[in-house]
Amino acid sequence: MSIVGDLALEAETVTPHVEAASERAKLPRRVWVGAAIVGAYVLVAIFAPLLAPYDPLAQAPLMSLANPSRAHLLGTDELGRDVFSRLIDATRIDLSVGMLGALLPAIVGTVLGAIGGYFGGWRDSMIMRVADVVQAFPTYILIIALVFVLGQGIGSILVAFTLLAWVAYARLIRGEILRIRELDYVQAARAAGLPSRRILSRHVLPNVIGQTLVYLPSDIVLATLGLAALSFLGLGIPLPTAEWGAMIAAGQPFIRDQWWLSTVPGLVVVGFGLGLSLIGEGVEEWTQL
Amino acid sequence: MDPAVNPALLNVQDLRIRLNAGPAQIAPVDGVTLAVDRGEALGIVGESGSGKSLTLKAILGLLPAGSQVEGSLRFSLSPDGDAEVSPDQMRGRGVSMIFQEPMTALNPTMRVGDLVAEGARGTGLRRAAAKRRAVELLDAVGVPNPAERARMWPHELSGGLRQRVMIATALSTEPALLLCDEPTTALDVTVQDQILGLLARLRRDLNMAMVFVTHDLAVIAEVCDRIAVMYAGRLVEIGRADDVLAAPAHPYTAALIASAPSFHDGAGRLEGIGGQPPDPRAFPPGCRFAPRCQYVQDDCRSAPHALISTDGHATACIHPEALTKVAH
Repeated sequence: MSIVGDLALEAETVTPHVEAASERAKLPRRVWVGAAIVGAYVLVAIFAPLLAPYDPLAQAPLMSLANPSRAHLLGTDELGRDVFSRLIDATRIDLSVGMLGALLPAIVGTVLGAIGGYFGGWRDSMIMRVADVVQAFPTYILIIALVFVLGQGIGSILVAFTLLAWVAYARLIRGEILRIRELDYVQAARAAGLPSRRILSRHVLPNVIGQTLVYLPSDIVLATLGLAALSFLGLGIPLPTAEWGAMIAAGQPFIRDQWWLSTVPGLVVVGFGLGLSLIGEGVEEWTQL
Repeated sequence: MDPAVNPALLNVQDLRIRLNAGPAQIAPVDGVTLAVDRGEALGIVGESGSGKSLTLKAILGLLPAGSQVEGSLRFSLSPDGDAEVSPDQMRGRGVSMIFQEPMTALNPTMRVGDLVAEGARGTGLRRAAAKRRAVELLDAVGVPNPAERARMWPHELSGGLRQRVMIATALSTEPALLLCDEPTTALDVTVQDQILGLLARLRRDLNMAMVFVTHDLAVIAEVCDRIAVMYAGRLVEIGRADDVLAAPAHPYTAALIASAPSFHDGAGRLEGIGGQPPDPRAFPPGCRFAPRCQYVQDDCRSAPHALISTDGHATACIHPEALTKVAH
């Protein structure tokens, strides 16, 4: 380094911003409550085979529609399967479809929105026109149609969710990028001659991705509910795999006498949704501080 | 010096920038010609809207989408003039920029050291070497405890330190030309002075050319070799800083100097410049300063805007003698 000059020792030190920063780092309590709830669901999903007292698929026709008892905590369904074991087993599929069903569109939407917003021009027009078309259709009808065409199964459900739900993320990210694109630090990165890909990944996306993170938890709720709704309509996970929505639907004919068959899976879905909503709201509050 | 044999580092020839403003098209920069030599500091002054910042952006090739550029902007990387390149090829290799607002010009999601190292990597350094280089650069721009500061986030630093970090970032690509867009306006006066001193020292030590855009004549007087004065998208006067400040040859420059507190001898009121700068949608014909000029004569309204040069001091005014008459 050829530059050796008289370094003026000055009173430029760390400003009180540091304290503000550590205050900012404090997440609202509800985030932790939500995280605890979601964490519990995740643990149940991971250890499902150990936690379930019975084989969730084992039928016992003689034991069908048994009331809750010490042997069967939540009774049995119309085929004599243990409802408690099925609820636990369903956690795996519902959580993975819910999370992937939100994460895949988030990734696709973020990438497309970033390209459109940053580069503009024909890329932007093309992406946003496709988004308009997708948004013009009623969501559930399109999902049902897509799953119908693609065939039942986790794969086609995820494809259908991704094809539809990316639009919200793309719009969100695009709008944010349009806001920060002309900011000095993005201009500075361009002035430094960095390649576009690096500017996008290091200077643009990290500053807009917060919006996606706020939106993501509520989208997981929607995806989980979406899967439950599809299963309820008979287009979800193929039988006999245990799934919350399918269990709610299957319990419906017996709602008068064995009300818990539909109600308990419903409450389980609500609990998961509540946990994620708490996280989402808390994170949003936190980012707005 | 024959320009064909030894071209200046930067040659701007009749630069014209057109923007779409609603239905109309405007040319906020309208025929600017200037050159910056290796190691030279050129100051561009003018009030808001005179086109000085746009000119800088054009030099960097960072004009907003939809703007059209006419004229030529050429860099000569080597003094023998065989490697003329356009702004797009220059970015990150020979030109850097320091922005006005140190608050918004540093990416808040990257550590200070990484920001500086990023540019250094562009010069071919490996990751670890670039990190060391970043600390050296932070040290060179007067950041105390550079190794420790390199691990901090921009929001943890004061305005003056942030501006130093930005200078280090700009230097990391080893530029031959440093563009400064009012780099001290957002800082308080003591820090402003330190930063100006730092820039002057860096320029000496690195033999780096600088283009300094500001509306503060005192800043220009302190840092620059030459001054270019812009008014309404055009260059109205250019020359050695001492000459221009001591004996302005354009009424607009004279009015600017009269309105600057730092050039005022302390007695009496500061002179304002009457009227408003013209609307870029309807620039007046002839000399664009004519409607506000107190020495205006009839032929000013049809005067050409070419600069008339005497001994490297050029003015667009066709009646500069009117000024000297008043002065004596």
